[in-house]
Amino acid sequence: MTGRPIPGPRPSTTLGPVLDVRDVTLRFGGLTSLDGVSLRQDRGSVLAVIGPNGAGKTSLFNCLTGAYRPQRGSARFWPADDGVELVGRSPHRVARLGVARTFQNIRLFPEMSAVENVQVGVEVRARPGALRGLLPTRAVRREERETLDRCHELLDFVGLGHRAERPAAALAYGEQRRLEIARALGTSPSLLLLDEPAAGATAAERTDLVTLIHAIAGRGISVLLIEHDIRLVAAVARAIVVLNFGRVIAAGRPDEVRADPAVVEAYLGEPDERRDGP
Amino acid sequence: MGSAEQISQLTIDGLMVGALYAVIALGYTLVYGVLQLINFAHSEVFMLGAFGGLFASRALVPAGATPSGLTSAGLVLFGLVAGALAGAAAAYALERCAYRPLRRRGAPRLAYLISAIGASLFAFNLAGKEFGRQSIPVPDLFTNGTVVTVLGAEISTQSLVIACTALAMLLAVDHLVAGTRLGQSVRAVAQDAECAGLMGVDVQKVIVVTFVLGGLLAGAGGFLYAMTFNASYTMGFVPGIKAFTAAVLGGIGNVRGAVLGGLLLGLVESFGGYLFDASYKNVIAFTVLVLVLLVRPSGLLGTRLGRPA
Amino acid sequence: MKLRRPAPRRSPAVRSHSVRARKAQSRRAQLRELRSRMARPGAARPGGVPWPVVARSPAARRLGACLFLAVIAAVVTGPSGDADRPLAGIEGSFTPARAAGFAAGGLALWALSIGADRLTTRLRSAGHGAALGGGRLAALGGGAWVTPAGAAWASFRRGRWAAFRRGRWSAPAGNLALLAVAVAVPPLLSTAAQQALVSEIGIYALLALGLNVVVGYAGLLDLGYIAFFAIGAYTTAYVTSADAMPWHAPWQVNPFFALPVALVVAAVAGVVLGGPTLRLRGDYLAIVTLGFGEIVQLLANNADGVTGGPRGVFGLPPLSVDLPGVHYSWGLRPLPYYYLLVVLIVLVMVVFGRWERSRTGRAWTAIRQDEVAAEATGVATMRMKLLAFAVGASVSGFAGVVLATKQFFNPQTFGLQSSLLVLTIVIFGGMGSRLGVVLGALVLQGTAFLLRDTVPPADRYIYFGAVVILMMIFRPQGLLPPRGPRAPASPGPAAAPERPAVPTERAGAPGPAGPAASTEAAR
Repeated sequence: MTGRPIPGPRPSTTLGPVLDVRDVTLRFGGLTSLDGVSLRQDRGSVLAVIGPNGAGKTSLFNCLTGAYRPQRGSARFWPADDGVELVGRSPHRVARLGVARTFQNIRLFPEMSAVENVQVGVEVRARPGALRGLLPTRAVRREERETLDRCHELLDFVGLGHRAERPAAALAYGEQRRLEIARALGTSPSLLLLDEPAAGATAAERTDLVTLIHAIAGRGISVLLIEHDIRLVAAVARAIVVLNFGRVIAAGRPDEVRADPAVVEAYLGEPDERRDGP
Repeated sequence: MGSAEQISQLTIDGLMVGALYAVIALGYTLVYGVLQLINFAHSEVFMLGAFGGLFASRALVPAGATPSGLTSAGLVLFGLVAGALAGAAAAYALERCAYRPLRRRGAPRLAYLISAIGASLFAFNLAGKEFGRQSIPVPDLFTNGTVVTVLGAEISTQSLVIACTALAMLLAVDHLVAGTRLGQSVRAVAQDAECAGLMGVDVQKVIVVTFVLGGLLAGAGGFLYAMTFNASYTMGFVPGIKAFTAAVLGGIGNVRGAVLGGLLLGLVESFGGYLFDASYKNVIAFTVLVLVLLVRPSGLLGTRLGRPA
Repeated sequence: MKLRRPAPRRSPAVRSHSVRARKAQSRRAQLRELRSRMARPGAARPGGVPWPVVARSPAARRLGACLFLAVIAAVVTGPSGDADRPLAGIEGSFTPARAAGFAAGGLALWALSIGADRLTTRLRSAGHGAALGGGRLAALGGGAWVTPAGAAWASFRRGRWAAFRRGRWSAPAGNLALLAVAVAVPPLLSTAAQQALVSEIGIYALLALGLNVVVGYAGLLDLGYIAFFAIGAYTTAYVTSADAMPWHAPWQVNPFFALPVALVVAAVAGVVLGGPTLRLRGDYLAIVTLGFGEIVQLLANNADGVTGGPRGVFGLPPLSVDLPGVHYSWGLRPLPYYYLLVVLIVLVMVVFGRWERSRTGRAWTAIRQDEVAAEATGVATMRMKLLAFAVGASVSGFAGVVLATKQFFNPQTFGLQSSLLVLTIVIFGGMGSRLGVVLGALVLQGTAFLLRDTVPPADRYIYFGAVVILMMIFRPQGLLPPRGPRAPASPGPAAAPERPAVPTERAGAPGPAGPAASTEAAR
């Protein structure tokens, strides 16, 4: 990780919440995936969502990012001083508002190079007009140069500077995860949603990931994190929300949550393999 | 709107054509169920089946003669079997040449579609080259006439033969998929091919069986269709799209949905053609297709082959 | 989730593996283990008759495939049958001489493919593993899923091509040479050949360039593409002639002004079709566009009062320039139209080349490769797909104008087969490759023209169909694939620095310098 500052979003000037989820309920036919979920995240903080498989964590992400539309509830998001509603917007609008995400099963653009992957994200913020790129005017070239600079800075930031020209599919698994994060950061988010970023990571990669998340948060980007590895969660998150069967069963500081009997019960009966990992 | 007779005649005609659409639609639905792919070349399987039945029955029926009685029944059956076998052979060759090599190489979805389109282009033009490019009638296998009148609608022998055969095939397939061991493997693969493979189902075999089954149905259906509308090398295209519409209308991947969709589409087309103009039947069918895809892409009965029918 | 499902009798070795290794890999390993376990009892099934080992060996299988290909080739190239003697064509295909010839051809093909495989194996064992690995990556990058032999060959070719194209001057020089050939050669050809260059090659190259945007860049399968061609042609008829059609626009314009009109009308038609349908999944989109193409043709055929019906449209004024001091009419000769087409094609290629390397092009690529991820990254996927549709449609409309001013057309011109022909050209040339699809049109249609006395025009489509299948199996990236990200592991002196000095290189980029402008950094 370099110490170079990432050209992040406008630094958070105000305190207060970045995200306020209220009573989100999502049903598929007769199956209730989320049942009145509420949570609140402070600006610049790292919040972790944990829970057994099928608890509704990824569904919650999908509701926040516009992939699903919940039947009830609201998710207010403050990119700046004024809040906006996320529910009901299409995914690309949500991304443009400043909520970026990664996927549990990595979804990159496999045949594009690493730097191009990031470019797609960065260019979302470029000046509108599909025809603009057609004439290589001075302004367009300067824009393209700035875009590329920023992409390389982001790749350096996640430690992939030396892999910039490789096709994404040719990167190692852990590198792909970091590239996904770089692409998400490219959209200049105020809030970054990470869906199991440490899944399948080695011990060393987990350590790196902790550093990376701290660095991201250090730039004023709030991070909402789904993760199974309790140790990793405890190392990065100030607060934890526990979901089970689509409901919030506990919330609070890591040590509080770990001691909560409801959480212990939720995890009993389904021992988590990853907890006895590295 | 016309008289009661007209209404019942339109209904009967619609159901008859609809039953044929349903038979072809089953091929789309079965293949879609196991592969999650639209088999673009299915219409050519249908066409080749029609030619198979046509040539087989022409070899047996002397020119100008019209058999009757049991001979007729035997000839119809023979033509159906020949059509079905030709369809099955075509479907097997299709799977072998245009699908399996791609599956082995792990090709993306688009590649299968394109390859099937290539197969379709190849097959129907080759048929045009080998069998001539004009439309050919099926020889008369029985004396066609009005058998029975229902509510003023005349039902011809031909309609009766088509309806009965189609019904028998639909029931047989429904039983096969819902009530046999083979059907169980087909449904297992449709739900989760990887998992079915782990449980000892030979996925490759199931795929082949599905194609062949669809080919049998389409081939027999092609022969039935050719009895009314003659056979030609381009005959597959329009019924193919309509059968696909039927499959989507009922819920693609769903066997009973395909039947329901076929009958419904037949009715819509029959009445629509009467209300507007017969030459706009195809436009009506396409419009139904577009509307269904836009409004309810999962169809009337939902899209899973695997769900308990 | 499935990882944790207790798998039946999992061995300790497998379990420890699953803990340590990465999720995906361990899962795959388990699958393999389980599958082999399931397979073993099946193989030892007492009642089952085991296949002879020889018949299942890869070489035997390949022999079967080669002989099958030979049989198909014999039938396809054989005499035609007809309805009265349906098997005559097939019988005629297997005269002793033909049968022997094709059997020998099949065997030769088999020997060749086996030999190529042996060579690959030997190369690999002889320590060329690194080079092959590079080839694999290159193949992966290019979106290929080819056999090892193919990968090796692709890496060889790609290496050569990449080296050739990377050169600062060689790419523009190569393009200029191609252009020079395209300009200099046609006057030397016969009139029939010039005619084919216009109506069979040039127009289809333009159509293929347009469809390439839809299929190659955005990954949308449009099977009704020819409808926009029809719309362009009929629009031209309406605005340039007062008597060719039963109905015409209140004013007539010079055919040159039909170009922008057709562009706009076709683009609008593209948006109108795409608006409701582009939300559909790939295969549904294909079939809906197929229906759309069919409806347009049906309307052109049936609506006599508006389109003139099946008798078609003729007598449109040819293209002409009437400026003070300059009077020139394209007349009826093919050559002037050919040069017009060359200008249009080069223009379209240059514009698309610039576009493909702009953020619009990247957004299209992103959509093609993972639409969900593109949308989540903030790409307005719906708008970009509509744009691709509209752009493709407008190029098709351009081609329609040239067609309409050049020659007679009727609804038959815009049949499904024409749509599929354009698709075949794009597949053959290389999806996403501008030079590829133009060369594809030249090679495919040129071959068809050269063989016009041997192969009846109606039979061409048999070969086109076969070409599509064979390309999808053996060379899905096409004749001349688009350049993917540079293959990283390619050994050689031209090893790039870890991070190229991108900004300077970009600043020095020559801009739209033709089809293969050498902005390696953009890739």
